[in-house]
Order: sequence, then structure tokens, then C-alpha cells
Amino acid sequence: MVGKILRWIDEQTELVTFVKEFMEEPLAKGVGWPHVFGSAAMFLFVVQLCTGVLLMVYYVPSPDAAYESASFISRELPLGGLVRGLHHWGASFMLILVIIHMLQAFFWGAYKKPRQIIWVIGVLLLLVTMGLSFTGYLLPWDQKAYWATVVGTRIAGSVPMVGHYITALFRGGPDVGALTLTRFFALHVLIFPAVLIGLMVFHVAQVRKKGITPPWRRVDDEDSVSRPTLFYPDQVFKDAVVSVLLLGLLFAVAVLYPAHLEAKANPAAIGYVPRPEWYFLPNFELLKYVPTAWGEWGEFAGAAVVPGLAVLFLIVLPYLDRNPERLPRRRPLISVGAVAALGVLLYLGISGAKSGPPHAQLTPQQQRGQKVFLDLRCHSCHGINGGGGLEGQDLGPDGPRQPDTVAKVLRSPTAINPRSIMPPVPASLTKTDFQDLVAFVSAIDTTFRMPTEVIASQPHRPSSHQEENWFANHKYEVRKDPTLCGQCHEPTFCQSCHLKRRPDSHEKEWLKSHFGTAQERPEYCQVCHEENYCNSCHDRLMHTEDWMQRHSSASEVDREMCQECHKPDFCITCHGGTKPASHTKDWVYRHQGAQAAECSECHNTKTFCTACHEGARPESHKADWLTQHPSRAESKTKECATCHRTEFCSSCHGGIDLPHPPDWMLEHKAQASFAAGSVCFRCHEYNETCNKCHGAEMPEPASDTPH
Amino acid sequence: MGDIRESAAGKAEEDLSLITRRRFLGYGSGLLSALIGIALGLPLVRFYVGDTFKEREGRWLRLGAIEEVTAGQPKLFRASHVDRDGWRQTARRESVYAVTQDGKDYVVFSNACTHLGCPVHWDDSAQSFLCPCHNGGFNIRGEVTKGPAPRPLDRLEHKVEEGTLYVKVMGG
Ligand code: FES
Repeated sequence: MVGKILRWIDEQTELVTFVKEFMEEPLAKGVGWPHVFGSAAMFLFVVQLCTGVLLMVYYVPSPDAAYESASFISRELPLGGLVRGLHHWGASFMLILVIIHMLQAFFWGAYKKPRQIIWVIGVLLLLVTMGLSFTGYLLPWDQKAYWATVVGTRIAGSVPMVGHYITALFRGGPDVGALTLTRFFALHVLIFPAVLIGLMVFHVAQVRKKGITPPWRRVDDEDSVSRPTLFYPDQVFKDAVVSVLLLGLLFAVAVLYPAHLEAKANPAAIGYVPRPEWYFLPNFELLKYVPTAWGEWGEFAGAAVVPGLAVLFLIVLPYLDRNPERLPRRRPLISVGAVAALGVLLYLGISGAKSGPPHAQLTPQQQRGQKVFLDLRCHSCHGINGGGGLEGQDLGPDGPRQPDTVAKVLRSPTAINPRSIMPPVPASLTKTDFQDLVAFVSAIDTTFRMPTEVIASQPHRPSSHQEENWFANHKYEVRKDPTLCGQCHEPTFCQSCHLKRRPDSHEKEWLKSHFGTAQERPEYCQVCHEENYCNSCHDRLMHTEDWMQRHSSASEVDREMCQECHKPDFCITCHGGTKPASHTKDWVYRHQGAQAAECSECHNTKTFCTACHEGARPESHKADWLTQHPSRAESKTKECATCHRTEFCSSCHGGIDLPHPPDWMLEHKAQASFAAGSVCFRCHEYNETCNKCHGAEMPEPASDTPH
Repeated sequence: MGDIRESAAGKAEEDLSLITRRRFLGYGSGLLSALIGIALGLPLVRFYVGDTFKEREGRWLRLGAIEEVTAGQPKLFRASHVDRDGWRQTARRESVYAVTQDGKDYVVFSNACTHLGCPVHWDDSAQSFLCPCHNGGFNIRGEVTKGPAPRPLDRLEHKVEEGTLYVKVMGG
């Protein structure tokens, strides 16, 4: 059946015959396992195509969505992490295979006549593969991707005079941004793959036409070689075995080391130290060897001229090296040269990978301090050079700091900045821990790095919170739709910061105007306040009718609350201080002479007068106060003076001996008076006291006449 | 290819073993290719399918305290929630009417008119939900009283827990 269909297809198209002829290439003796690398590279390209096309099903090339969609692929789609991992690691695998294939072609002398053009195309294929890697690296739009691209495209800027034009051309503008992303995307998914496929077809067709190089035969001795095997199935089988092994390895790496996604690209994170991808490392390392005195020309030489010349050399190599020998030992110069060049590249690459960005070596004390820093979760708000939380200040760029200041801030953040929301270090922290922490925090500078495991374990933010200035903007977001916040956050979440720092909306006389908001849009209050929050004031502090009576005890407890509306000198308006001109020093003693009509201009005479005249005495002045007061007055004269002047005491004590001396009963006639308002009646009832001895015959104290 | 054919013709025995070997390698290659196809294809197909067939789970959205709903007086609640649309998260605002006749059983109506989806509002004087778009009307039980609406107001799944009214909405 299958045979029939194939035959029919062949009749119509000759396709089967073509494929058959193509595949049944006789292979020279000795061709075998060393020749699988080209096919392996091609196989990996096919893997990249498959995974890449599928990633495109979900990926969106826009700065607003790229990171979110990449994160959606990685974290939420079934097998998304695996597919992204395959594509991510597949890129490196492919590049490595291309390089191995090239080395193999080099040492087997396969670039020589008549296969020069195959080699040249191969070099171009290497460049396109690197281009694919470079453009693909940006697409997830995380910090690592963004900054590597910033640095990578800056290299082009090292060309003197016209450099920044070239950089701009790469980036689609002066900076890495939306336009860079879209053009990299187009290059990555369309232009480079198309070019690569075109070149590859040409490359393979040429190989088929000119045959796989017979190993170690001189250029002029190819025809005599025996060709005992066929490409299919002998070599194809080997290729298939290698492909299966490679795919297994790729799966293993993708599963064991999932493609990491850092925080979303943040062009403002100046502290972030970009790392180039591994294949750029030798070039980066090379730049370190360029003497700074050479200036921009030096950078140009290191970044562009040397690599450019190297590529040029590779391209013209088959035309320069006309030695017909293929055995490496018969062409010692170029073989040794190649090994040496390879050694240099490896050395640069490895030392580049090792040295990395400047990395502070922590002293033992700083190490302990770093542990305290992480244990206290300082890093959840404070980043260190781009790693860590975004809410607090990044500690890297402005360091190092004065230990004294750091210690002060850590102990009491609001002492330095009254609006700070940073919690002070817990009081339970031991002294040595605190000192270690201070040592670490004050030493942090641009060379410090957040430990990678900390960065990896940062909580994943929902896409709405990805905006780089989300934290600064959250107050506006809350206002847009307060009920939305409540879907994930409890009020305590807001309070964890805002108890220390009132929201901006609550500044300036907020208490006076809060009623309108609470009445019309209670959902605004409910985001941050629990339901019974209102009661905490409204039960006790509302200025209802009996407020004058309650205010002193309430103000005692909630003094701060009073100050929400009242300035401190508000109390003095009654309790002393700003009084009308008439209310001078002894006013309390003279006030009975005032006209009630005049009083009522300011005072509600009904309540104001009674506040003193009926009740409203201090708590201490109980019913038996008069008998009690001598002992209190003696020991606490100051206390009395808060309300009473000395005249107050002498109004009784001035004319009369108090306490009454032993012979008082005999002597009292001279001092006592029955007149109305007489001081005697401050303590004594007429009926009870006077009548006790004097009986009913004593006159009523109705008149002023002394008895 | 010439020398292969010659050698094949010359030594029949070797020829046979060669053919067996070729066949073995051919089948082997085919088998390995199939393996690759399956190993790579299955995950990719699964990835392509993604969450296409995943049942969307609803979530309970808190509306407010049931005391806010007085008997015979539909009460409008508004609440927002996040709805997932692939990698996008969109805020959705729900407006619903909660109605109770006896303070025990509650009904929650969507405020979307069943005609063309305009928002209905409760009109006290008319004792009806009125739709501004085509003059539709619904009574307090959600039944159509006038206008073009084809069916009663949609009732939403809800529950009362600890004195709080929740309604079920789609999305995460
Ligand atoms: S949409 Fe409500 S009546 Fe038409």
C-alpha cells in the first residue's frame, strides 16, 4: 500500500527517486562517527524550529506583554517550562555543535579544494547562529535579557565616529526598548531562520555534490579512495543515534536547569550588572586587555576589529591555505596555530566566566551580617545592585555608608526620615548580630551581589504589579478600583506599612473631611480598615451632647486623636491662655459680678456655668472633701495650685482660725458671722450646727445685722 | 556506487549480510527517528493544546454584609475581581442586585439586561428593574414585565457565610 502511494508520487513528481539518490551517497572509507556533528547541528536547528514555532503561539513581542507572556509560558502552561527550557538550552547546544562541526572540518582539512565554498557558507552559518542566539536572548524581556542586549548593542557603538548610528540602527532608536524588541523578534523568528535555512540547503547540496571529504587523503588523491558505505542507512543510523542521545541530554538539562526568568526588565535599575552570554565571554575578556590609554580606538579594536579580522580570516582560510595535505601533522603551522588560537579563546572564555563582574569578597563579619540581613528579610524591600525587592532603596549604587548613620537608621528609621515605613530592627536582635548587620549594610557598594538563590526565590508578582514604578503608583491604582485590591490583600497588608506612614490621602485635616468619603464610597475605607474600625472612634470620641463632661477623660486616653483636628493650644482656649480682656488674672473670683447677658455672647450659659457650679468638680473633691482637704493641701500644695490661687485658701483661712483651736467654742462668737454667704456656711449647715447649742431662739441668718 | 555493486555481485554471501545490515540500519534509523518524533512531538502537542480544554473555575466574590439587604428592597453591590485571559490579567467589575423577601433566602441577579445586555437599575417608584436601552422592565423576582427581553434576569450562584454574601464569578 505504502509502496503504491510512493510509486504514484514518484510517477508524478520524481520526488522519491530524488530523495533516494540524494540519500544513497557513497561514502569514502573512514567516514563515520566523526562526521555526525553537521547532522547533529542541523537536528538541533530542527528542534529549535519546532520549539520556537510553538513558543510563538503564546509569546507577544511587546515590552508590555513580553515578560508576562514568557512568564505565562514558563509558569502556567502545561509543559511550558519544558518547552522554553528546550529552546533556551537548544540554542547553546546548537552553537556548540556548530563550533565542534567546524573544528572537525578544520582538522580533517575539509575546507580544502574543492570544498572551499562549503566552508565559507559554514562560517556564515556560524554567524547567523550567533545572531539567532543574540536576538533570541532579549525576547523574554527580563533583567538579564535587557541588560545583556544593552551591553551587546553598545559594542557596535565602539566604532569611532559612526558608532552611535550603528548602535541606534541595531536598537531601532537610541535606547533598548519597544523598537529593539520588535526588530529583534523579526530577526529572530523570520529573517535569520530564513537565511539560515537558505544557507543550510546550499551547504548540504554542495556537500552532496562534492562528497564528504575522504579522511586524511591529499587533495589530489581523492578519486582513488574506496567508497564502501552509503549515506543511507550507514551514516543516517549514526546520525539518528547521536540525535537521540542529544535530545535526551537536552531534555535532561532542560528539566534539571529550567530556563530561568529574572525580574521584568527595568531600564531604571542602574545597579544591575549585565552578564554577556557565554559565547561573548572571550570577546568581553579581551576588552579588559586593551590599554585604557587607547581610548575609544582601543575599544573599537578589542570589540570589533579583532573579532572582525578573525571572522575574515576564517572566511578566506580555504583560499589562503593551499597546502594539499589534510593530515594535521603534515601541515604543522596551521594546526599549531589553530590549537593556539583555540587555547587563547578558551582561556579568555574561562577567565571571563570566572572573573565575571566585580564581586565583593565579604569579610567573616560581613558574611554574618549578610545572614542577619537575609534572616530579617531586609532584601524583600531592598535590592542590592538590581537583585531583590523594589520597594526600598537599592543599597548598591550609593554605598558604602557611614556605620554610625546606618546603625541610627536601623534602630529608628523615623528619626532620620519621619515618613519612613521601614520597621526598626527587632529589639530582640543581639548586640553582635546588630553589629554584624551594620558592618554588612554599611559596606554594600556597587560590587555587592544579592545571593542568586535569594533572587531565584523572590515572590512572583502578578502582571498588574510588574510595572517598574508599581510601588510608587499603587495609591492611584487603589483609587481606581479599591475592591480589586481586596481580592488578594487583607486590610492588614496595607496596615503593615501604613500604620507607620499615613496614606497621602489622609494628610492635612483628613479627619474633618473623612465623613464624606466614608459615607459615599465605603469601599475606599474597607480596603485598609477592618469593619469595626470606625467604632474605635465613633463609640467614644464623638462630640455628642455630654461631650464636655466626657472630654477630659477621653482626651487623656486619645490625646493624639484630638490632635487630628485640634491644635495643642486648643485646650488652652478654655483651660487657660487666650481669654478676653476682661478675663484677667482673678477673673474666676470676680466673674460673679459679670452680666449674664455679656457671658452668653461666648458661653452657652446653660452648660458652661453649670459645668463648674453644679458638679464637674475634680474627682478628688468627693462629698467629704472639706474634711479631707487639709491633709492633701499640705502635702500637695502644687496640685491645688493648678486650679486655685492662694486667695482661694485665705477666703476661709484668712479670717478664721482653721482648724478651729481647742477653745473655739468659747471664742467663736467674735469671729463667726451669721451673715448670708458667711464663710461658716461653707462647712456648716445653719440648722444643724448653730441650733445644736443655740436652740430655736437664735435668729435666722436673714439679715446682715451681727448678732 | 559502482564499486559497491561490483562487490555485491561478486560475493553473494557478503551481499546477503550487507543487505541484512543495511536493512537493520534502515529500520534502526526509522525507529530512532520515530522515537525522536514522539519524544519531541508529544510534549509540543500538549504545549500547543495548553489550557484550551480546561474547565474555567469560578471564584467566590465577596459582596458585603447581608444586613445591607433589606427585605423587598433590591440592593446593588459592586465588586471587582481579576480575570485571567491567557497571560493577561484584566480587572472585571461586577454589578449585581441582591434581593431578599424574607431576610432568609437571597437571590442575586446580574444587572445585565437579558435583551442586549444594558445595565438595569432598580426603580423604587416603579417597583421594577428598568432597562434604559429598550425600555425593558423586570419585577422584583426578575420576571419580564415589559419590553423586548426574552427571559428573566440571570440569577447568579451565591452563598451566605458568616453573615456575608458571596457570588460566584468566572475567572481567577
Ligand atoms: S437591552 Fe435592555 S431592553 Fe434592550
